[in-house]
Amino acid sequence: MSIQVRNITKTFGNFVALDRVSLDIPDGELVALLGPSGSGKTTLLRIIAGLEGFDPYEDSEILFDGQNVARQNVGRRKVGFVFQHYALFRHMTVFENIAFGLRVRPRGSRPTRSQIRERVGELLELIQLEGIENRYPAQLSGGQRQRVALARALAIQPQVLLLDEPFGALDAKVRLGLRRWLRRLHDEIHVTSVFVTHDQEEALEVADRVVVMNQGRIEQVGTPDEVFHQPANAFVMDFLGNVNLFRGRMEAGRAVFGALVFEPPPGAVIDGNTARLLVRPHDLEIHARGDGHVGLEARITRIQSAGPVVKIELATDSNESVFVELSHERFRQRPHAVGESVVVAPRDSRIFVEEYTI
Amino acid sequence: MTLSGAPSLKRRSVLPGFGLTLGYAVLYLSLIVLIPLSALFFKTATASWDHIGRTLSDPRVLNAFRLSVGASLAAAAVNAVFGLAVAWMLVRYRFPGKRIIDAFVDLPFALPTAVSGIALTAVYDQNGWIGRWLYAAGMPSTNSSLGVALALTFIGLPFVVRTLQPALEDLDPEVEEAAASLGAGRLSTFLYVIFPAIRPALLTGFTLAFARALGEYGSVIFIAGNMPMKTEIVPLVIVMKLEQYDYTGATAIAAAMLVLSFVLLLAINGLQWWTARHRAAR
Repeated sequence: MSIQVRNITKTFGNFVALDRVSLDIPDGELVALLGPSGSGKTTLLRIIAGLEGFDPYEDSEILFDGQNVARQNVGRRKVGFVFQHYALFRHMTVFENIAFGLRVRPRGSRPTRSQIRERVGELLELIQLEGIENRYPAQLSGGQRQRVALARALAIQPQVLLLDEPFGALDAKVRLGLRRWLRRLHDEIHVTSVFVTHDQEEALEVADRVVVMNQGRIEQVGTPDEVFHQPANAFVMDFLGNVNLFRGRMEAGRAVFGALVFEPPPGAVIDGNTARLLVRPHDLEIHARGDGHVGLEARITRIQSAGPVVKIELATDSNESVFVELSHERFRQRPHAVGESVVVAPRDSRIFVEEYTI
Repeated sequence: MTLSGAPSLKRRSVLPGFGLTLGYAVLYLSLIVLIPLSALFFKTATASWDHIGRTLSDPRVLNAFRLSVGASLAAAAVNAVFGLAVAWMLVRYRFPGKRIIDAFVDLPFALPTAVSGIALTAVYDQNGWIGRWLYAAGMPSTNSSLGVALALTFIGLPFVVRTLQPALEDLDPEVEEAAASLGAGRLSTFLYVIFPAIRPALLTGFTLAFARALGEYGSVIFIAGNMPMKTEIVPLVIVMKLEQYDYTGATAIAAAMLVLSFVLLLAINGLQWWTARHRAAR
């Protein structure tokens, strides 16, 4: 089922949680809502679910397969909702938790006992937790609880699956395993799914499409590749991974950052405007000073070589921190030492020029 | 200290002061509760079995027991229902005057019971504001077992409300949202999700209200009329025995009352333990 969000605004007192947000989610996709806390991603998810209302503007709509569901309550929208802290029914067994949505149906459409038993059995198999149906949530690990919560949501055969920071309360290792499992699960059942996360790695790894949000607005919508390699603005680039930020100015139609001079991106740019140069740590190179490379002069302050890459921290003359990542191979060929004066130059970078000065 | 084998009492706990607190608790309980109560049994034991038997099988005494337990159970049950409603309203909704209503709940705790008894009698008497309607409807609300139950309901209400409030505040709103998203209506959500979560607190409140009602004296004697065989409660019968210098008879009734309350409370606690079995930290 496709989801369309049209011009949704939500305010809590003076705080604008969502500011005229519109979003299209195609049928069968797994979409991540990614953003820092307070960006409105959870609010948007709850509005899609019907757990939260939105400000009543005339052109605000939520459409499921073209049908306006804004007036339907959460129970009638047939959404499966998974909460960050599981929200399992503590006094019910795993079986009773999963069967809950089937047992509370009105008598006419309620499945028989044996049908319920069968369906719960299927779901237990799906979440790979057969044999624990008589345990209580308190007897399960965090990862198991979240899988039970997912099975409970899937039991009602939802048209849409909504997950609010589903792995947020789990430790790093479990989290990694569970998100890969979610991806495989989605490939199996193909229900339109939206999940909220503040972890860019999680969004890029799991989702078909990533929606980057900030301060109640959508900054960019795109595939993981698009948002990572062609970020629409400085916020998206900064949020999707570590970035070095250099401030410069537009001078004579060019973006100038100390010794580095670049052609600006296409579009109207005015001299004197602030320009920002964003470079990912693995796109910076370190050269010895005085061997002819143009770049920013800096001094190495810290080298950390434990890990998949060598992380080097430098300080520029104006005492700004710069982070560089080198492969171990490259570091072995040309080692550096703390205190060494060097020149750093970007191999690849993006320049964003502010449209107007403030 | 043994390193293996049977668990030892001398095992070191991280929290210091176990010996001190246990010793203090035992001493305190002994001085305040156990020694006075055992004195009751010692005094009873000085009487002949015949005397005890005659005292306890006196129809007047038996009637008092029936009324005390019955009215206390009825009052606690009424409080469980309406106390839940009051606690629900106080926790779930915001409305003007909420704090004042919240404070009203504690009044039965604070008032001298004789004051409550006189106030209740004035209102529920044949000519009282409410009593005249009840009398007209054929329900005499004073000098009757209804009057006894009324007084016991009044003094028991705070116990239910005050034990339920924290339990209701503790409910996770996400759990209700989960139930709603799974298609449960309000009634199903309450019956299957909320009620099981607050049931232990409700039982505790019920038990406290019941225990309090069993021992209540001051407020009841004003409204009950104290008619032999009809509206005499057990505490009143004990006081009457004392006034007749029948100390062993009084202690025999008191001891019987004690055993009965203990058994009842134990049974309710057992029920509570049984329902709380599955509750554990999230």
